Amino acid sequence: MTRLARTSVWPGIALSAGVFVACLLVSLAFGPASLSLGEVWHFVTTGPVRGDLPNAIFWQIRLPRVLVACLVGAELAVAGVILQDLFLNPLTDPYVTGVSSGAALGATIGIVLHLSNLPWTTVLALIGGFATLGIVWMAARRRGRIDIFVLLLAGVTISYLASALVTVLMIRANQDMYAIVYWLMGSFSGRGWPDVEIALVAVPFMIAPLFFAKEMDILLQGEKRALELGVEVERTKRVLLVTAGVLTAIAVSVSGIIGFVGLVVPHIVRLLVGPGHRSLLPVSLLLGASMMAVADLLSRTVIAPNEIPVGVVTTFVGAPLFVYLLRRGRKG
Amino acid sequence: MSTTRTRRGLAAATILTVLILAAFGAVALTGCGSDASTGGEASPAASASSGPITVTDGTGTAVTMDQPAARIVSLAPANTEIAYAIGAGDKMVAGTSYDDYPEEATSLPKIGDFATPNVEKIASFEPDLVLAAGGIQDKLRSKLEGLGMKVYVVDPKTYDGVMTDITNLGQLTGSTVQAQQVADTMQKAKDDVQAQVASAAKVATFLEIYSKPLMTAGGETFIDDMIALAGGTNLGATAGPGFPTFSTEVLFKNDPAVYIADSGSMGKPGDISKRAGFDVLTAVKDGHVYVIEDSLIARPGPRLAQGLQELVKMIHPEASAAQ
Amino acid sequence: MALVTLRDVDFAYDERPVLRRISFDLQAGEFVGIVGPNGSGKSTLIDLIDGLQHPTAGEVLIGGVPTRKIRRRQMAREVALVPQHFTLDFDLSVREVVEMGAYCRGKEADACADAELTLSRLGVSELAGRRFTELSGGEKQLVVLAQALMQKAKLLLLDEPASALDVSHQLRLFDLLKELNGEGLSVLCILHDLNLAIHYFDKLLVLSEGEVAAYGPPDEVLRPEIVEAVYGVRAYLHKHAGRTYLTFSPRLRGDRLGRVHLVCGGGTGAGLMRELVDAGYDVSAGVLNALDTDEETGSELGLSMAVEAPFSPVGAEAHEQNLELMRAADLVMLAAVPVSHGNARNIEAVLEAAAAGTPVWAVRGVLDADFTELTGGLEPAGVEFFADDAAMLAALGERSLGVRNARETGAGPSGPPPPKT
Repeated sequence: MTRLARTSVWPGIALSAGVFVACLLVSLAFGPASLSLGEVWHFVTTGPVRGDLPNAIFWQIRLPRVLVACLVGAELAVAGVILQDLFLNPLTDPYVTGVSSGAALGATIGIVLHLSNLPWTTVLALIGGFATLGIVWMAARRRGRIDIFVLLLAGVTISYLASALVTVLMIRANQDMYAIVYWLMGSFSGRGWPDVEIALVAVPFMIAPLFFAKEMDILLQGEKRALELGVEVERTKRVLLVTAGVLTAIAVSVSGIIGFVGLVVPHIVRLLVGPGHRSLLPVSLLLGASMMAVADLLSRTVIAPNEIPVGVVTTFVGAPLFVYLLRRGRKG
Repeated sequence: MSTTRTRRGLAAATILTVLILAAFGAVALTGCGSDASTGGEASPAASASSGPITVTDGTGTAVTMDQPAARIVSLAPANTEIAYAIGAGDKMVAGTSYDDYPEEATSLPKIGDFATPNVEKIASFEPDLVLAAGGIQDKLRSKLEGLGMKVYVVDPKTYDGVMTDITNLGQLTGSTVQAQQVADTMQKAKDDVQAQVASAAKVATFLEIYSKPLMTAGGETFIDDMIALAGGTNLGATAGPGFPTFSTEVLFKNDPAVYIADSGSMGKPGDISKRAGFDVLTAVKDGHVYVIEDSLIARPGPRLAQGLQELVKMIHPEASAAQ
Repeated sequence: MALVTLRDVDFAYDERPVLRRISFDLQAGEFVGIVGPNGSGKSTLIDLIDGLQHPTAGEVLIGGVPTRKIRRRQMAREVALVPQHFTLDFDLSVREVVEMGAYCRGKEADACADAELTLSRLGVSELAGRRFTELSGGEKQLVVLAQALMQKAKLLLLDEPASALDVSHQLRLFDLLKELNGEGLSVLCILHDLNLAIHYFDKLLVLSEGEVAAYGPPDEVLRPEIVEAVYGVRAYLHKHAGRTYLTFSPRLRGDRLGRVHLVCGGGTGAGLMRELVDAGYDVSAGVLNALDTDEETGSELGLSMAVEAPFSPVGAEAHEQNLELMRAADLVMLAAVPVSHGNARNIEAVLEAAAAGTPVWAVRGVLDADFTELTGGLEPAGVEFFADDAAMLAALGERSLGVRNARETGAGPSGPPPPKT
């Protein structure tokens, strides 16, 4: 089995940082408004200029959108890593805790109440997401411990419940159905600087898990072994679960439910640099950001001025990549 | 696994199945019952009946009625408006929960909402003519016709198409005279507007249906047609037919002179000029940002005339002011 | 102060009690094994000592501090555990797995070098670069041991560490543990193999049904009667070339097949003894001279015996004892022992038993090696003869019920059974 990095983490991180920068530049350079590279470079150097329309396209429309995509991709990837390694289940994605469904319900309520579109939907989604995290948390507490299995069950149950409520609302207020469905499908259309600000709140939560890299490695052997080796398992679990929940809630509130990235990026990265968290976490962050930026680029460019829902693109981009790596991994 | 538990479970399942089957049976029977009573009802002698009436509806299907309709159910607010406008309001027996115009329509019994009409509920009103809308309601046609009702689908792609629907419905309801009057009013509005903008250059216009994601009215819609009639070029048409999503970047790149947002059924657009980056758009700078009432331009009915007049004021303010 | 102290510890999983009134101390530097049947609570005891569970009553103290008060990291520096089962489905190298053991030592650990050292100490340094998931069960066990050793704890707890290992690795492991113990590491190890337990450990803690059945040096604690009471099997102590071994035969508790008294000597009875004991009978023997091979076998098997001084004829005391044993038996068997002056009184005793109504069976061969005339009186006394040991045992197998019934119903002498022709 070939791996990019065996002993040192830096080759992997450096490479993925390079990939990220490349994806970022490509996403900023291309778009349905076909600005030339020269123009883009000009805008970068002169900064935002009021009254200049092409400049506004770059600074007010494209740049914040790309940044949101990168942040959301990174958030989902890191949440995916945390949850897969806490649940010790490769099929875990960030939505398994039910946080996304709670956020969807919050957003749906915002849409249905016709609150002047913009920040309210996001805020209600955040509230919905955090409320769900709290409910699921309380359900999983047993004798002062968090029972991971119960957490999973509670999350799945709440997901179904919240989805059912969303469906009911969609049908009752069905002139809003399109808006709700579009929100649920996930999209970066219309995301601007306010959304960037919200997504940035998640940055400390993306960095925090790095401080628990060793503990997360040891937890790969199971909670009991980790306790035996001296890890404060309950405290670690609490921190990690809250982190994953916050990351997911923020990501979903800003962009709706975009699938595949949170599930697949951690696996791809494990195949590339192994399961050690000192490289798994940062590389997943960078790769998640890259993948989402590219997916958004394709979603807004391929059939411009129409847009393909970004969740469709992530699946079409991610799936072949994943299959390729799986096959390569086995042969190696 | 104890045998008593399995036995109890089986018993419960059996009882439940029997109950469900019984419920279905009851509903089916009542359905058949109302079906039997629809066919033989005599139509009121309010309008002259001289043999079968055949018209072609929005899907290109021929709709034939032996007598003018006496009991009408509408499945869309637009259709309800048409019915009242052409004087067939007294024949309306039920509408949708979104019917809000005219005033009388709000007190009609309801068959439910727009997207999920209930066939049994519709049938319970024993209509002879059902006015459906296009798209998701197409599937209902065969079910309703199977129960003996006639279905007319209103799905116009142009302003003229709306007028045709109105006159068709006039024939089907025996209100040809009033229907023609409505059509004439609409035609006059069209003529007036066209005259106003005849010599003016086309103005690039964008009509926003929804903001997040950005959605617009595309080609092959009567909204698109109306924008053209009002002397505008619909930017949304470049994105295809129907109601497509639209890239904000392309919106900016094209920088339309007029920006109109639709308000009402899908929410309020908020303060558009305050949206991030929008201050750089020509439409915002020149103050050509408008909000239009959804029911005036999105309902294929008689009030499109009003909507058309609103549009021309927004797209060619100088031309309409001169009037 | 003891390194580990348990005081009146009770533990229950929900309502189900697992350990009861456990009290014991482990001093620093001791090398103690824990034995006991499945389900006796051994693994739970280990978990309690490591603070993974807390007692429902009583206290568990490490260095005088209750485990409840010790944080995980600190606990890992004091106590290391080698579990019986471990899972890791991820693609980590052996080196990475071993290095995890140094986590509890924090910054002071020089994890890299230590890992190599520990692996080579265990004789498996060639495994360092391999993927952990590709190793065999035994290799994984050693790697997990290496991981535990990296904690540099004072006490090493092991839960059946030898279960996945082949014989040579088993011995190597215990030799290594002994070495580490010599360097100051206290060891508390659960194991199944009682012979390994006897051989390696200074003290053994015997658990039975959640309670301490015994605690002390192996030869005190693994006496056959304790083994029998705890495990429900018959155990025999053997000494060979300076070492003690236990062997076992299955014995179903509660089944009383009956008691057989064996008259033999010079090796004629050893086979019969073993067969009878394995079949589940109570066996007594006499009179045998000390140092006679049959006497040694009998003593290894823990039989009640009437014994006479070596090379001496049967004396009055031994004879009386013999008679008593025969009275207590359901059946007397006479092996093909050569009869001479020295053991003639044994034949007299047999004749007495026959006269008293106890069934007596004999191997025909006893008539041939008779240097006295006494055996002639056996047949008329109603003794049943068999061609050889095997035939006699076979008959016992068929008729064992008869033996017990006769005893239980207290049937008196109703005439001798007809002789077998």
